Amino acid sequence: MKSKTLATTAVFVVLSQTVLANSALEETMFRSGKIYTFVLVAFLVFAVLVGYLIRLDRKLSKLERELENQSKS
Amino acid sequence: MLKNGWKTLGVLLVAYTLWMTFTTPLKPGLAAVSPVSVNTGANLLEWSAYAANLSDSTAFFLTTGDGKVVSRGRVTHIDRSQRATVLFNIADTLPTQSLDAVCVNSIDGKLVLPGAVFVKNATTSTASKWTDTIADPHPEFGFVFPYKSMLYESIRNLNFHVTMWFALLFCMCYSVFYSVKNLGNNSWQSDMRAENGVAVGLVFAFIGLITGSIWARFTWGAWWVDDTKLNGAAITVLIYLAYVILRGAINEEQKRARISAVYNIFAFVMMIVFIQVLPRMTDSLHPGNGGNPAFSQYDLDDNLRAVFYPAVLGWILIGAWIISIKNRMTMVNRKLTTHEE
Amino acid sequence: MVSIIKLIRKEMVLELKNKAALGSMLLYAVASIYISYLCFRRITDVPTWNALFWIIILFASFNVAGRSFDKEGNGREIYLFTLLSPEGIIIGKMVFNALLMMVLGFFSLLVFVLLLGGQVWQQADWGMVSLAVLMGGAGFGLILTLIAGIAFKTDNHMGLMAILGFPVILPYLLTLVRFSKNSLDGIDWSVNYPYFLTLLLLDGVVLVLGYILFPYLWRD
Repeated sequence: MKSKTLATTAVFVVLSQTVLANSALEETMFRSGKIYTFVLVAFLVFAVLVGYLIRLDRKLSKLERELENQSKS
Repeated sequence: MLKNGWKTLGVLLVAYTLWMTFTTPLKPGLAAVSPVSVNTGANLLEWSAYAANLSDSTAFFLTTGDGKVVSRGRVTHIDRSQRATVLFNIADTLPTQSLDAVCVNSIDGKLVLPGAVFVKNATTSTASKWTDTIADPHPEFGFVFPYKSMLYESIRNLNFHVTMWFALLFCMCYSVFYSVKNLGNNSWQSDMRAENGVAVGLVFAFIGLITGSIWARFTWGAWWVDDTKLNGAAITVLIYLAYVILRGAINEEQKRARISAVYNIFAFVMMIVFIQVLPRMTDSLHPGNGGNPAFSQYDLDDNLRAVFYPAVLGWILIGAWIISIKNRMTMVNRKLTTHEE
Repeated sequence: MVSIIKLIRKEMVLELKNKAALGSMLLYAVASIYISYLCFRRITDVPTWNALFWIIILFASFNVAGRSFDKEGNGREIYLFTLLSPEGIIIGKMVFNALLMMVLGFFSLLVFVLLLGGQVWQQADWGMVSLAVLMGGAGFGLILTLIAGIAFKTDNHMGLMAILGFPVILPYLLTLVRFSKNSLDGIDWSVNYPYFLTLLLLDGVVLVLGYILFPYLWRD
C-alpha cells in the first residue's frame, strides 16, 4: 500500500515535470493572465484531498468488515 | 445539528471561497511598457494593460515617483483595448531618470506602473518646473481582486495555496497541544490525537508543497527557490516525516507515546522560533519580507481579505473534520483489536 | 547546581580517560578535512569554504553526540542516575557536549586553515569567526544531546539520530552559516548581530526545553 502511494507520487512528479516543461503547455499556463496556473492549483488541492478521503474511506470499509466478522463469530 | 454545526460552517466557508475566488473579476492594471530604456526626444512606447478599457479618451503620461507629470503622450494606435502605441516627447532635463507610467480614463481610473521607463541620457535637475499632477476619476469597481504585476489572475491562488499552510499550522498546534497533554496524563487518547494531527498535517503540507511549486514556477520561474518560507516548509515536512519514523521505531505503546511527544514538542518549538525570527532578518520573495515585488500580506486588499480570512477558517475546519474522522476510526480500530484479545 | 557541575566534571574525567573516544573524534575531523583537501587543494571561495567547514563539523558532532548516552547501559551508571535528578543529568551532558564541540570546532578550524587555505581570511573578522565557532559548538552540542537522548530510547539509535536530528538542527545551521559567512566577509557587527542573537535565543530555548522535557524521557 505504502509503496504504491510512493510509486504514484514519483510517477506524478516526473510526469508533471516533463509535461509542464513542454513549451505548448508552458504557454497555456501563462495565457489569459496565468488563469490556468490558478485552475491547476485549485484542481490539485481538490484532487489530493479527494484522494486522501478515498483512502480513508477504504480503511473505514476494512474496519467495518472486521467488525462484521467479529459479530458473526 | 448544533453538534455538527462547525462542519457545516467549514463546508459553507470553503464553498463561499470557491465561488468568490472563481467569479470575482480582477481590477484593471498596467502590465508593461516597452522599451524600458529610452533616450530623450521623441519615442514610441508600446503599453500593455490587463483587463483594462484603453480607448481614444484615455490619457497617457510619464510621471515622477511622486506623480508630477513629465510628459503627456499622443496615442497613435490602440489594439483591442489592451495595447496602445503612444508617442512621447521626453525633455532633456528631468527630475529623475526613472519614470512611472500612468494612464487615466473614466472606466479604469488611474493605472500606474512604477519605474516603467528609464531615460538613459537625460540630465537631472531638481528645479521644480514639473508641478502638474493627475486627478484620479475614482470609478466604482464593485467587488474585484487587486491587480498585481507578475501575478495577474494567479493571485487567486492565495485562497488555496496559502490557506493550506494555515490549515497545516492548525494541525501542528493541535498535535503539539495533545503531545503536551499526553506528557501530563499518559492517556492513549491524547497520543492518538497527536498522531492523527500530524498525519493530516502532512497531507496539507504535501498539497502546499506541490501547489507552491507550481505557483513559483510561473511567477518566479523556478520549481523551488531559496527562500525562508520554503525552508520553513521543508523543515516542517522533514520534522513530521521524522516523527512518523520515530513512532515506527518504538514498539511499546506507552514509551512510544511519551518519546514521540517529547520530540514533537522540541521540534515544534524550534520550528516556531525559527519561522518567527529568521524572516524578519532576511529578504524573502514571499509577502511581508524584504523588497517584495509581488504583494504584501500586510496591505492585502480589503476585497481579497473578505475572501481570504473565511477561506483560512474554512480550510482549518475541514482539517479539523478530517482529524476527527481519523480519531473516530482509530478508536473503533482499538475497540476491535482489544476485543479480539 | 552543584550536582550539575559535578556531573560535568565526571563526564570530563571519563571522556578524557577514554583516550580512544576523544582521539577518534579528532581523527574523524582531521580525516574528513584531509579528504576535502585532496579534493579541493585550495578553496578561495568564501561560501564554499564556509559551507564545507560547517558540514564537516556537523557530521563530526553527530558522531560524538550519538555516543553520549552509550555508556548509560551498565550497572554503575544506572546506580549513579538514581542519585541524580534527570534535570541535572541532561544539563550536565548538554554543557559537557557543548564544551567538547567547541574544542572540536577550534581544532578543526586550525586544521582547515592550514590545509585548505587562508586566503579566505583576508577580510575575516577573527573575533567574530571565533564567536561563530563557539556558537556552533554550543548549538550542536545542546541540540544533538537532547536528540541523542530521544534516539537512545529506540532500538536503532544511530540510524534515528540522523533522521531526528537533521530537521531540528537545520534552523540553527542556516542561521549559523549566515553568521559565519558574514564574519568571514568582515561584515560589521551592527549588521551581523541579529544572527548572533537568534543563535543565543535558540540555545536558550534548547536548554529550557531539555530541562523540562528530559525527565519524561528518563522516567523508566
